[in-house]
Amino acid sequence: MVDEAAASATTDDAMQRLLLTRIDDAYRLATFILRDPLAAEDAVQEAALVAWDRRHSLRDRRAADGWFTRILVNVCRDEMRRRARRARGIDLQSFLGRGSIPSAGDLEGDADLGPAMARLTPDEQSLLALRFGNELTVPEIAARLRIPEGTVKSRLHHALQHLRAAIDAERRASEHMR
Amino acid sequence: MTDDDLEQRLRFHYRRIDPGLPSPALGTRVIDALDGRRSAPTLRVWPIPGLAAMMAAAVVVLLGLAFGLRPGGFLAGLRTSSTAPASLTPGSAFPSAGISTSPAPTPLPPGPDVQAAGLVDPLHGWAVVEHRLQITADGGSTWRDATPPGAFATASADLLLGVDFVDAQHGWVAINAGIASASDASFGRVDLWRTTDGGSTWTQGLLPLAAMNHNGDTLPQVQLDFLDASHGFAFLSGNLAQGANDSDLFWTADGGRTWSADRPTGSGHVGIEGDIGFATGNDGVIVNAPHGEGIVVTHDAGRTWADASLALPPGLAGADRFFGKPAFFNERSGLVAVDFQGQTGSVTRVYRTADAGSSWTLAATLPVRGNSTLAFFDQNRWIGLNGSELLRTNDSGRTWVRTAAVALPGGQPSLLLADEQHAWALVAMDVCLTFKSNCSSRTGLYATVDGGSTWTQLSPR
Repeated sequence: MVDEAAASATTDDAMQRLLLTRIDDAYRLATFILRDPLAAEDAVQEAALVAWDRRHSLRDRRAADGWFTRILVNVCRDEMRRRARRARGIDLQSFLGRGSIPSAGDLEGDADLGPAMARLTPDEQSLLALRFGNELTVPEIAARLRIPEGTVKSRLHHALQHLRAAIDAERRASEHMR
Repeated sequence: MTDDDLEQRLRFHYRRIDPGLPSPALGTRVIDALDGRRSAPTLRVWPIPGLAAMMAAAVVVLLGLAFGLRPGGFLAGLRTSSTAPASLTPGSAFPSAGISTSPAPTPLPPGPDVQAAGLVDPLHGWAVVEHRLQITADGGSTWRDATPPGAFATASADLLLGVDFVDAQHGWVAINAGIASASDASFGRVDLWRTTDGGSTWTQGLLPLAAMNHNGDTLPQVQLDFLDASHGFAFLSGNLAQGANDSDLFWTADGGRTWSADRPTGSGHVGIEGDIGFATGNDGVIVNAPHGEGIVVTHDAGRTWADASLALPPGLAGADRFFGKPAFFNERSGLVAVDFQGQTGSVTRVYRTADAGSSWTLAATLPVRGNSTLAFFDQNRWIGLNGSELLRTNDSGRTWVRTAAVALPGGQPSLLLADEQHAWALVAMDVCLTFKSNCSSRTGLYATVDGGSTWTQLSPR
């Protein structure tokens, strides 16, 4: 019994170290997805706690990156849904694309990108953040999300299509306001 | 704009918002949070009350669980309360709040960390503490370990996913057995143990595989919602499978011996997540759903779902909404409490349905602000907790009596009702002794035998 407890403590120490070494990358990805550094910090902490509670499901430490990425993306997705629910029924347009840090959309000539990104689903935004924010390759994303490479390519394609349509919609809305 | 142009714009976009390294304080926060978990291991299990069929009206309302509480927000001294009903501030959608001050943060009181609990009748109830299922037959004075054999055998390896009892004899426990590798047979599998003798003996069963075979590392909790000893649902909300998302519903008509094939609520992209509540074997709702006004309804046992209508008062259309578990009193009529989180605080309103969940109209507004918990004895008699204050109405919320709930610590409670005198409260307590650090959390179980006026802590172990 004592040995089991000691082994458990050792394992838990290793898990804590494993999670702590991933904070920096997790914070960066969460910020890309949520576009809010404070919300990203909360998401990282929440993801760490979820991962801790699920630590016994991770048997292969080599899979830790993907495992923790999936948990973090889920946490971010939940947060984005909460935001969307809050935005529904109020000034949705002004809510879209709002973040606590400047976005590329704030730049002259690129004002439509930030709001357009916010029109995408949480899953699409997460995928774009992994691909173009974290600069992961398609195989790397496939490995982290545990989905086939073809699925990653297909979803990226659809996400870009949706983003293009959202940019057009933003431009039409902007012209209508003038 | 070519694909390359768009991709370049995206890369530029992310470079612009790249935050660099987080502040060192984030690492401290995470360490403190993990230390808190290590000192008080917590399974993330929603309290699911066991409901006797004769008490189907009693419902647990969990409001605001998604919100952390501020330092000092716990263990606030007991407040004296007026028995006069509070009034709404004219022109405001939210009730007025009294002037209050937050005391300095205080360490949490000692006691076991209760992951989940249910109250079946004044004498019989269950609780999960340190991976073990404990059962009482004397109102919480004494407890016996009724953990299913084989389940929780290695506490560090098994995941408790859900518990439900409909009476003192009939209960179910959902477990994901510990695995050694992803190739294990139990990887992502849900074992559903059932007892018909109050936990003395258990029989193991299995839920069928979800439509999308899920991965163990994201296996959600299993919401067990039994209408009686034979009929019930098992719901896996937000079941992530290989990057896709689904929510899976199963139905049994023989007490859990056999289960229907999966009735997924999603298409694989975004499932309908949330908390289930069924009035009959056909009619039920999912609340806190990412659809419509946050509530969806089925009239064909979960095969199809549609958005339910929710009458929103002016000024609250844009507020965050958090639903409690819906209570159905017959095949058509039910109540649900909804906590609206707005810019100036939160207010809890009660909605009523007369068409098995398709439409909901406003029935009453709680006379207090802040996260509240509400439970229903029947369509007219309700009881609630707001911090350490007890609220009671016998006329569907037209008038309220407010008294102190003596010896009930502040925190986020959920109520489990047996009758008008006997209830339990699970109180989630969390405190950071310094700003966002030195944090700890624990859920305590408290009982009342006098209708909520006084409370005593239970130690289910």
